[in-house]
Amino acid sequence: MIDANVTLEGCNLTRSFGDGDTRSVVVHDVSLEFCSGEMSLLLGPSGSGKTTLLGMLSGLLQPDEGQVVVLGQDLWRMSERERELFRLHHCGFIFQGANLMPALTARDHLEMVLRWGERLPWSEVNRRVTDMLGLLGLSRKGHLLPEHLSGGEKQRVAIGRALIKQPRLFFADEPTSALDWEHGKHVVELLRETAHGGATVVMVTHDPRILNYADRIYRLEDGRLLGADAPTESAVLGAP
Amino acid sequence: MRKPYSLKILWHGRNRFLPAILAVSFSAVLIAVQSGVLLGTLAVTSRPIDHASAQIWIGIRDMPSIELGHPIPEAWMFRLQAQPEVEEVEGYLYEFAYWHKPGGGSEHCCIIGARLEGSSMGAVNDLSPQMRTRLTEPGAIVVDATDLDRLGLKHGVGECAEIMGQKVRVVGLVHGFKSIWGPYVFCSMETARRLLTMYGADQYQYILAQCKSSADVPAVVERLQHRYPEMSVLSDRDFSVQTRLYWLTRTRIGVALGLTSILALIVGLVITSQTLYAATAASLREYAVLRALGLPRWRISTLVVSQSFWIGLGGVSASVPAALLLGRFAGFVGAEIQLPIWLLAATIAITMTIALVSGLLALRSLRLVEPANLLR
Repeated sequence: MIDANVTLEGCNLTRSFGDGDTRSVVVHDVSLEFCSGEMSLLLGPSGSGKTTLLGMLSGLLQPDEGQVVVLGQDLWRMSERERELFRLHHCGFIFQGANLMPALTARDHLEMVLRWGERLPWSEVNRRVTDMLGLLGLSRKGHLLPEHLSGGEKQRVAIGRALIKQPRLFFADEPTSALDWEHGKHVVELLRETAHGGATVVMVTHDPRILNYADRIYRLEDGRLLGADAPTESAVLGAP
Repeated sequence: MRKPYSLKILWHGRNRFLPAILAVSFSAVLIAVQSGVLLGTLAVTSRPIDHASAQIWIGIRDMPSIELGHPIPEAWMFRLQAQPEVEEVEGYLYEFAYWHKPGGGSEHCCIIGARLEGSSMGAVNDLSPQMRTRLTEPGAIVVDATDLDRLGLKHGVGECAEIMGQKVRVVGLVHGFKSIWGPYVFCSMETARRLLTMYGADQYQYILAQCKSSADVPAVVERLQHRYPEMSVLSDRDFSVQTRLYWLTRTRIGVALGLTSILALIVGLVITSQTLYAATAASLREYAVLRALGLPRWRISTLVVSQSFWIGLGGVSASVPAALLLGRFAGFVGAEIQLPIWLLAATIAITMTIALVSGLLALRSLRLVEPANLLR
């Protein structure tokens, strides 16, 4: 682990969906913390609330109760605009699908974030995009549309799109679920390198092959946190 | 030069966007051609004024347009001649009559009688010197080439017919005077008087004048109008505009063409808006990722509105040549479509506005963009 400072902390987070008789509590009083330089996993069976928890930690889904402190700021006490700017400056996301625009090339997707988000000049954009494509192993495929990229390459473009603005926090929701292990492994290695480069990476997964890449694992079941530890010590704490 | 993202999206989805581009193009062509037809039709109504050299037209009080004049006394000529700025004065006849076709049947026609000398202020400048010479013969007339069918004539020149029971003979043909209510029949003042027996020898329908300097026209018009309220005194330009406006506002021609244009705009608006809405709705997840990454909503909105801009531009780019071609084709079949630059520019402006409005309407689909929906 490198520079293990707490950058993200969730305190007593609770989230439910529905009203009245249909109300179900998906995440119940969960407290946990994440450090820079670590890749942490949120692990649990389907319906355990791990994705909902990721949403609350990342500023996408408001908790019913509890607090998220991120880089020293209370995320859910910010205005919507402030949270949007916070995500712009500090957060990267990847989701299950690559969600790339079919009309835009791999390079366009990376450029768009820097041009529209960071408003960088073209010379700087070109340099950073070229570097990122090299890091992703896509130097010769920057001009290709998503339809001409493999599933793994598309997901790497999605990672590149999230990484190119050099976020301090990186949230990934089952990024390898649609990939074979060959491509999935490459994606996970990229995320681990990102974490060991100083970022805080939080990943939701149910893929056991990823466990050995994680620095910290949180296991959830029925919306409750069972425990946390490094995988080398107990593989997955709370596992049956 | 980098292609804008919106243009790339449009090109990549060209099959999806083609109906919208065609709808915009259709709207633009319809607006341009409808307006061109209107302008062409209105221009025909004032053509006897526009193609004559008279600078001042005098008629009965409150005459709304050229074809709604009444007989006025010849004595009014003296009022004009008394103005120091006026150089020349002459009478002019313009009246409807019945044309009896040589093969049977009748048709309304509009007789225009004027002096025929080279200095004539009433004779249209389309009458060549040879025609003017032939028109001095009793009963000689000139008609528009495209009205021959309507007049029951085959070749025109040399053929005879009757107007109000009087024999007339066609001695020449002009072009561009296809009237909307009855064919124009150009003749000498003498022939006109013989055909229009309701006019006394000392009556005209209009009195025309020319000033020594065209700069004097407004002052003379104002002075005469003030001094003689029983007369209508108009400059040629004002009379021309008044005649066209009368036809535009007092008949349903402008309303009908205007409604068709509005309908075309609505069709373009709805198709473009719905196409953009569907395209945007199909990309909600892609836009949601951008929102999750913190890219501002206005950037995404601009992307959608930019697509509507390109759709509009594509539509008008296709429509301008199409409208010009239709205008040319209409000319071949005797119809008149006027497509001046200002009309094309106005059509482009209206169409682009409609395309952009449709882009703004499509933005409602962006309300559905919700980054939290990306979490499964």
